[in-house]
Amino acid sequence: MQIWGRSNPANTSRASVWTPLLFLVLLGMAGCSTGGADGSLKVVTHTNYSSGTMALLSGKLAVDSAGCVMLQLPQGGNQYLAFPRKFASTTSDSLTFAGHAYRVGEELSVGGGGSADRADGLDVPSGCPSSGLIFVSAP
Amino acid sequence: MAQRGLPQLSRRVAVNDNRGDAAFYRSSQMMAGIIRTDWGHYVGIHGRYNPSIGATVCRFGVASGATCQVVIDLNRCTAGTCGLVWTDRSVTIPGDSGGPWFYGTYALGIHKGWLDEKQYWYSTSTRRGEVFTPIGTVLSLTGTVLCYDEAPDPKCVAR
Repeated sequence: MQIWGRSNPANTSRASVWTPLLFLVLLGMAGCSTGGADGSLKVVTHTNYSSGTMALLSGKLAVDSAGCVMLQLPQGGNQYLAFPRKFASTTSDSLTFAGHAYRVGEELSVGGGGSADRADGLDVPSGCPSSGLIFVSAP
Repeated sequence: MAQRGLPQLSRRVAVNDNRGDAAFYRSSQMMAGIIRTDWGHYVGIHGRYNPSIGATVCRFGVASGATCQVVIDLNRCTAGTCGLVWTDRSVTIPGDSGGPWFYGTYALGIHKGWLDEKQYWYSTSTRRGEVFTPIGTVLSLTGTVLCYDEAPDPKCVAR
């Protein structure tokens, strides 16, 4: 029986150790920014998964001239949103949040609110606003 | 019979920082000193206090309805907002924010949302409770006073 750490280290290929690590690093980097590079919609994201504000925000999913996701409010005007990163993804014409895909123009209702801590893992794709955001709460 | 229009609200003060989360809106119409405690139920407020740990507290939200819970901690922070009361469970859903926390006819605070945290440092799971800004903080942050019939603040003036 081999005990962990006592196998022959000389036989351990460095590549076999570093390849999975490199893969994980690249995977992590890919997850740092949601959308934009591949023609998908751009969406501002945050990493606050441990708390949420429960104001209701409803409107139609819309996209600005830079390709950034925003909400077209029923009373007029637009509101940019920051989504919890691990619950949001985009394609060229839709946003998936918490397992539900919303196409541009479709009604979207989310819970969220302003945040006193705007540096909580905020990732802002190029051309998207970094202020005046409503932070969508994790489900 | 002529129907009165909905009151117009204008925001005068909004604070969301390490002291708490509260806002003050001025209404175009005089408001009655009542809160909704459940669907179809309203009570007049006769006082206020900041709840302590172990206290039973209740709230009404226009999305999830009425619920009562127990306070498990005070002065909690969520995403930079501090001074929050934390309860032992959560049923809140979008639309509940801004709803009243109360006990009987006493005002206790304003609803914010939810907070997850490990119960013990070695826990692998988290417990989710609700958070709200206590009434004393709401009043101090907005520079307002609570007006009610029995013991009106000298600053309460009938208009």
